[in-house]
Amino acid sequence: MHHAQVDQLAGQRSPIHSLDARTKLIGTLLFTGFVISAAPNHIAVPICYAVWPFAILVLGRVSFRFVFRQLLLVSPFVLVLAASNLFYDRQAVPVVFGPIRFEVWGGLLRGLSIVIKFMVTMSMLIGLTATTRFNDLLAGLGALRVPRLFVMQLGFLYRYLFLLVNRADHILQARKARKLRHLGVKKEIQVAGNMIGALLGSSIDTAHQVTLSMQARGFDGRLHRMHRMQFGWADAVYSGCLVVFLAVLMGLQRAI
Amino acid sequence: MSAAIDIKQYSYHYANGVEALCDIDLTIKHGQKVALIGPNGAGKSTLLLAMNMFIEGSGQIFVDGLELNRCNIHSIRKVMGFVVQDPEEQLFMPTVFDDVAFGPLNLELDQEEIIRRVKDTLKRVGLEGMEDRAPYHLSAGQKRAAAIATVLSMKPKIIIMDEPDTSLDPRSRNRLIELLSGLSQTLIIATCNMDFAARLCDHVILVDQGRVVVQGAAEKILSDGELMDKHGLEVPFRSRYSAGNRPIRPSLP
Ligand SMILES: Nc1ncnc2c1ncn2[C@@H]1O[C@H](COP(=O)(O)OP(=O)(O)OP(=O)(O)O)[C@@H](O)[C@H]1O
Ligand SMILES: [Mg+2]
Repeated sequence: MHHAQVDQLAGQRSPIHSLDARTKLIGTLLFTGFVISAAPNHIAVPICYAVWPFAILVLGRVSFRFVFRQLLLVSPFVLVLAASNLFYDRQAVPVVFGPIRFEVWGGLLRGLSIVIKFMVTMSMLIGLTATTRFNDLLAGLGALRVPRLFVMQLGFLYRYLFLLVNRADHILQARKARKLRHLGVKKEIQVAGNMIGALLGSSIDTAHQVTLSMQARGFDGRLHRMHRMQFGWADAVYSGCLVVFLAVLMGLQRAI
Repeated sequence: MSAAIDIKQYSYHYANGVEALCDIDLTIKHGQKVALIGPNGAGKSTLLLAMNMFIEGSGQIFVDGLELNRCNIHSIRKVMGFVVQDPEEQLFMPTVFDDVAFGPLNLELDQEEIIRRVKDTLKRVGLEGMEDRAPYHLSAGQKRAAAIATVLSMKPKIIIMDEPDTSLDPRSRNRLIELLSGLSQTLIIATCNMDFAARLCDHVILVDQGRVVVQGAAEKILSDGELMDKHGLEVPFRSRYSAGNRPIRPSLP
C-alpha cells in the first residue's frame, strides 16, 4: 500500500534521512522556486536540475520504481496542461542541437518544459517525503513557524487518508467476495455510490476513535517529539552543496 | 482513602435516543481487578467511555477522588489508561516505538526515561526487538500486545480495557492473562468472555440494558447459573469455580 510504503521508506536510515527536517523543507522550497522560475522555453536547464533530486533519491535509498509510480499517478493532469500549450502557441522556434538545426512550435517547447519541470519538482517532493518521517516533517513545519493549527490538521489529514485507504481495501474485498455476476451499469454505479457512502461513514468513525485514543493518552493538542531538532555539520554540507548547485545552474541559464 | 472510581447516579443517552446508561451506581477500589460483564449492547463500552469523559451524561464520576470535569480531564487521563476495543484504533504512529512513546511524551518525561520505559514495556508484553516495525504489519495478537504497551508505558494508576481478549488464540490469551494478573494497577475490563473474566478478575460488575444488575465477588456472581442465564451469559467453562474451586493458572513454558 502506498501510504504504508511512504512510512516505511521514511523510516529507513541514510545520510539524507539523518538531515534535519527543516533543512530538507527549506531546501525543497528553494529548489522548487528555482526550477519553476527557469525560462519557460528552456529544456536543457530543467533537465540539469534533475541531477539534485536524483542524487537525493539515490542517497536516500528510495527505489525508482516507487518514484515512477507516484509520477505516473499524477502525470495525466500535467500532460493535459502541457498539451494545451500546443494550441495557443504555434509560432516556429529554431532549435539548435550541436550542428543540427530545426524548427518546432513554441508551444511544444513550452509544453515539454512544463512536463520536465513538473517531473523534477515532483521527484524532489517525493525525495522529501520518502526520507523524512511524517512526524518530523510536521515538527519541522512547526519550527518554521507554520501555524500550529495548520500543522495539526495536516497531521490528522495524513492519518485520515491512511484509514480511508485501509477501509477502501476492506470494502472492495467484501464486495468482491459477494459479487456473483455483473449487474449492469446503472446498478453498478448505485452500488459504487453506496460503497463510497459506507467508506466515508466508517472512516469518519475510525478517525474519531483514533482521536479518542490519542486524547486518552494525554494528547492535549501539542505535538511532542522524541529528539530535539538540531542542525549538524551534515545540514551545513547539504545546504552548501545545494546553494552551489543552484548558483551553477543559474549561471548556465544566463550563458545559454 | 478515596476509591479508584466512584460513579453516582449516572445516566446517558445517545443522540438517537437510545438510553445506553441508566442510574449507574458503582464503586471500584484501588488495586481491584474488575470485570465489567454483560451481553452485547448492554452498555459496557459506553460506560468505559463515560469514565474517560468521552461522553458526558448526567450524574457524577469520581476518579481517584477527583470529580471528572472539563478542567481536570487532561490531568485525570494521565493517571487513567484506556485501551480501546480495536487495536487498529489504538495504534496510529509509524513505528511501534513511536506509538509506545506517544503517551510518555505527552507526560513530558525526559528522553532517557522515555526510551527506558518503551524498552521495558515492550519486553514486558513480549514485543522485544519490534521497535522499528510498523504497527499495521503486526499480527492480531501482537497488535493487541502493542496496544496494551502504549498504555502501560504511561504507568497509569488505573487501566481500562474494552474487550482485550477478542481475536486472540488460547496461547496469546493465556499470555495476556499472565501479563494482566502481574499488574498492580486497578484494572477495569469489559468482556463477554466469562472464562477470561473468571481467570483474571476478583470482582465483577454485571450490566444489562444500561443498568448495573449486580456487583460483587467474581466467584459468587460468575458461578450463579440462573443469573448468568437470565442475562444471556454463561458460567465460565474452564473457571476456577467449575473445576472444584481449583484455581487454574495459565500453564506457560
Ligand atoms: N454511537 C452510538 N450511537 C447510538 N447508539 C449507540 C452508539 N453506540 C452504542 N449505541 C447503543 O448503545 C447501547 C450500548 O452499546 P455499547 O456499545 O455500550 O454496548 P456493549 O455492552 O459494549 O456491547 P458489545 O458487547 O457488543 O460491545 C446499544 O444499544 C447500542 O446500540
Ligand atoms: Mg462494546
